[in-house]
Amino acid sequence: MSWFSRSQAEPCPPPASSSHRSLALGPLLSGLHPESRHAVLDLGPPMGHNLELLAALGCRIRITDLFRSLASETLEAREPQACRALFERLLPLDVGERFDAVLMWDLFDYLRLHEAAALMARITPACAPRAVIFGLVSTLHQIPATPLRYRIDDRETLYSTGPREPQRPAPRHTQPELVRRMPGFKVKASYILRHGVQEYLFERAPS
Amino acid sequence: MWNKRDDEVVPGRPATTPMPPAPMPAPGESFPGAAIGPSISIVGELTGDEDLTILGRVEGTVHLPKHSVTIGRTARVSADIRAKAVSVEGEVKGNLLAAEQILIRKTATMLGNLSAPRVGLEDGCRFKGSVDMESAAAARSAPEISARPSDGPRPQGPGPVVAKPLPPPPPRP
Repeated sequence: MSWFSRSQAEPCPPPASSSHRSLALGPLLSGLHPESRHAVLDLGPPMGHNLELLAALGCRIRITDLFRSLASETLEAREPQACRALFERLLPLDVGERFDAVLMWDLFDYLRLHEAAALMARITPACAPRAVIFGLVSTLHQIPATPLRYRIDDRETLYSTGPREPQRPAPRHTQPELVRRMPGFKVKASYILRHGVQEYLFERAPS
Repeated sequence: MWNKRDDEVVPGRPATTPMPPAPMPAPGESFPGAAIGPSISIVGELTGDEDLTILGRVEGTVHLPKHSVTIGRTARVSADIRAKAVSVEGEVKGNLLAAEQILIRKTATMLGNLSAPRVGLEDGCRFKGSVDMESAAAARSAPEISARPSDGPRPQGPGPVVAKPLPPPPPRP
């Protein structure tokens, strides 16, 4: 399917939205200094507000709505033996491109573990030492069928919007399962929030 | 006679009054700009000295450094574009470089890199690429991202139950 082709999916119900207090955003944003011109990889859908905020922090931003790209792929392309090639195709990176932060949002909830491993194999070489990955993993049994859209309102507030219905079973990846698929990264911090989301900051080991 | 309709054709007269020809702009007078219609396809290099609206297909390069380029909803453009300002509502595959601003509308599908002092992405647009607003960032002071209420909805109900405070972030390399 062409990247340009429009989805012919059924119309979705009106998006619901909510905010939650985030404990990981503060440390994440504190690491981005305007004078350092950090590079950020955003794997969620484009959000103008986030772009503005990150640009004001002097960041260069690469945006790839990975879930949308994956959704148009065949099941065969997402099988373990083909997955690495798939992410190389979906996530083209410039030679020498290095990221200081990766906004994963809730993408882990929509990846099987071998897909998470293949994604990490793709982005890890492009992550600078001490690069940070920000991820949200659901601890609930059911999650929305598609990832939500997240807007950083301030250091403590993450606003999410998108259809909450229909739902699908959550994979409920555990921390050891994820860390095993992320060689070179360790959990810098994790926070279990009351509304059923665990926030993670993974940090790449200094070289 | 009294009920004669205004649009009734009088024999010997044309059915409609012909439009007078559009006046040509006087030297130095501004011109509304050029348009590439939805049925037009162009392959090659586009240059000019006026604003441009693209509604058709363009493949190649677009170079209007002192003017605005608008990519309409029906447009399919596969080109690098250099302009003063670029607004995208249709489909673009290529890199955009603007001296003032780039705006990617919610109807847009954009595949390429953006470079401008101001870049706007409307929620709902499809975008894959990088954004560089270096000059804009330099022009601004450090942002005020504080733990204060924002304009958006505030968190309600659940808050964190387990929290592990972090030490101050180490200096970045």
